[in-house]
Amino acid sequence: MTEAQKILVSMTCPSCGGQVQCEEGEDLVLCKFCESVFALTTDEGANKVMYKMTVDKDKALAKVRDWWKTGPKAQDLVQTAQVTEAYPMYLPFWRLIARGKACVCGIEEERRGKDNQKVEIPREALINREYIYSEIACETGDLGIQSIVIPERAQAISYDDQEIVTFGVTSSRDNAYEAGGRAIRQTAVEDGGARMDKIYFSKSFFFPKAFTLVYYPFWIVRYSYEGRTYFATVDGITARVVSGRAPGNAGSQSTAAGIGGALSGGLAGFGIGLAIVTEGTDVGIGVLVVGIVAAVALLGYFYNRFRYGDEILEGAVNGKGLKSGRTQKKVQPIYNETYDYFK
Amino acid sequence: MLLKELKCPGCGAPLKSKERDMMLACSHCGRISLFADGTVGDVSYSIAAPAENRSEELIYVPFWIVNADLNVKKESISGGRISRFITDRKQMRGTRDFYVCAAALPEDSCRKWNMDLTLDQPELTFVSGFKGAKRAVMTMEKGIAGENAEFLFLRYETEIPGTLQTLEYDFNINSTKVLYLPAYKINDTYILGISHE
Amino acid sequence: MPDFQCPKCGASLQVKPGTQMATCSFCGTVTYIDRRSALFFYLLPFSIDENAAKGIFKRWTAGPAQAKDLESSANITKFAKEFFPVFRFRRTVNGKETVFVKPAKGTLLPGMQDLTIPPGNIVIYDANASTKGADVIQPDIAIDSYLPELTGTPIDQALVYFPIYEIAYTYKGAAYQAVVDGSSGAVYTTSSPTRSSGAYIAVMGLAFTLGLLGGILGIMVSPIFFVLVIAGFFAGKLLAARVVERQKPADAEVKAE
Repeated sequence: MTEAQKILVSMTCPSCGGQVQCEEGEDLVLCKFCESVFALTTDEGANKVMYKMTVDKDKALAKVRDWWKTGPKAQDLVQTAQVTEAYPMYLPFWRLIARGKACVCGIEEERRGKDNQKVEIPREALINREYIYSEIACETGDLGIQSIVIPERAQAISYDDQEIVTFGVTSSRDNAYEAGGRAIRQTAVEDGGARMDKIYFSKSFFFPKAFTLVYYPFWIVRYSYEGRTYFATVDGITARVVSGRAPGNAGSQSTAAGIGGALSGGLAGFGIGLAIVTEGTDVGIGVLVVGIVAAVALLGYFYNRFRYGDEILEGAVNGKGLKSGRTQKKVQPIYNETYDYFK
Repeated sequence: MLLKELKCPGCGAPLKSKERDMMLACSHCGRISLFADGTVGDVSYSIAAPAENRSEELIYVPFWIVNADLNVKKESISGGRISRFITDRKQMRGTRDFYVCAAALPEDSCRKWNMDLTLDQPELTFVSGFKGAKRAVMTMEKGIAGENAEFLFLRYETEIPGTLQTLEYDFNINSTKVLYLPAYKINDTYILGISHE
Repeated sequence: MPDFQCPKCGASLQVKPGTQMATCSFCGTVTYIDRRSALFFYLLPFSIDENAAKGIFKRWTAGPAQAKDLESSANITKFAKEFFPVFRFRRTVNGKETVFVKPAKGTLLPGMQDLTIPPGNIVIYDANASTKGADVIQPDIAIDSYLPELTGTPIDQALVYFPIYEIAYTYKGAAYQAVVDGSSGAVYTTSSPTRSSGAYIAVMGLAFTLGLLGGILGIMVSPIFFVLVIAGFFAGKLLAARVVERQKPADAEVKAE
């Protein structure tokens, strides 16, 4: 869907005053007006950029209200929930762009023929792609935001002033850089071994291109419903609800309990009864096995909806609850510079 | 974040360039310096002589030459034995110069050149200057040339007939140097101007 | 280094570079230097002592909306008495004097965005004001960040150290946060733990048993017993509704928060 984009920061040429566009990771910069050559220096070894908030408070709250209407959430959320806080916050993320290369060899297992015999097919793969790794650079408690995707056409500016409300960086730059390198190399090997069931040999390389600290805007919204506090975080540029907790629909929870318990019991009982009545014939045993398997599956599914339907979780939120929405993966490939080889 | 102006280490004049080339030439004294780790410094480089005179425009393409000792301790390849035997492919073993193209030219050309030159180990004669010919922009920094050379070896072992299954090896780098090879641009493709099979 | 003026008497302030506080040599007022402005500097003393705050928090964990064994099983990992920095903006909005209070430090703690400073209790932060026993958290947001969004015209601006008890607790392996307001005694929370499994398993177990009996007897004895499956469904649904039902707090509790 959205391909990971490289950040572009505008700066002013010290020689002629023209506008210079610096691409993330390129430390050799050229002014196209006067042809002067510059080295882009950064303090503490990482560029710091920020994205301006473009979503205002009303829009963020409207999006949260829309979110309340979706999914197995309590029916009267929109009418009765009270927003207690809604404030903007820039959260810091570490962002590492690197080319990942890997050589992976192994086998793929297939079942062929009438007897479903296991056949081993030798496979080899070369991966050569650019990856972006992002990870939040602070402790957010249970806010459920781990990584970010920079939306297309978003313009980054250099973060030198502290004219914005930010949450301080608490994770170490070196740790993040190392973790990113490892994650990208691991992803390259995983991508190479995608079709393999067993990997015999793998070697990965990591060529870092850019390491940036990105301040990205969010709206933090807290609300209460029937005596308990919940929250939602809204992306400050795309206005999407990125993570949150919401109360579940009590009605569907109790129905789940009823259906799950009774139906799975009935199926299991049906299977057992049939097996006894047919005195252990193949058909009887077959139905019994199918019945038990179905019963266990149903029991598990409906118990989950019953027990954890109290809270609906969005995003990478920890804890128990029904999860919905997609979590942002830490490593994402950039597809337009890929030179893979598979055999 | 600051932009620091780069100056020629020889004569002190500000460096100018139309393109983002890591090998920067000073317009005053003609000296070429390498941009690495945020500063410009001296670099030793060689220029290979073209094998023949051609009418098309000559352009020198920068390569990193990684001289390394490659010792393969264990390898197993599934299948393809006959193909490998028949075509009598050269093996990539022992001490050799690994050619890693450092310019932003079409990837297919770079990949082919790297492989062919590293296998052939061509004998070169050198010239002392560019004599006004263009230089292709160098975009690959020295630090990653070694790993690219090692990846080239892995690519070779993977692309030969048969499917690679296991591999154990040592790859020890002796030196990394800059070498400019002559090339000619014909329509949209580049042809190397040295003889190699 | 730009000159700063004492906001009380207008005299020129001597500010040592690298410091953020200055004492006026004429009137003795202590001001906070925020990049471009000199602000009045206040402190709101604690009205609630540490024991009282612990009591308030305990009462909250025992509340009807929380997990039944939260009070007994919660493990408090942090109970810190702190002064949290906030900016107080007094402005004229539509002819009326209005006060805006905004956090002076980036925080995800609940309740910090719109604290109430009771006007009577505030104290000037000078050598006499005591912060004993409490950690003082330093500001890290420039006051200018808020100016664009404030309505009306300014009367004055101040930095206020606001008293809070910052609480961190774990319950069944997960970590949670809460804040007790050291001036009003209000409890601010984010998400809190949900209930334990016992009752849920019991209800599901009952429905399952009824269904199982219905299935076995229905095949072995007579199809009429399949009705037990239906009974299991209704029994399960009714009992489940009782377990799931959230306790609606009494009106008095709601007002206190």
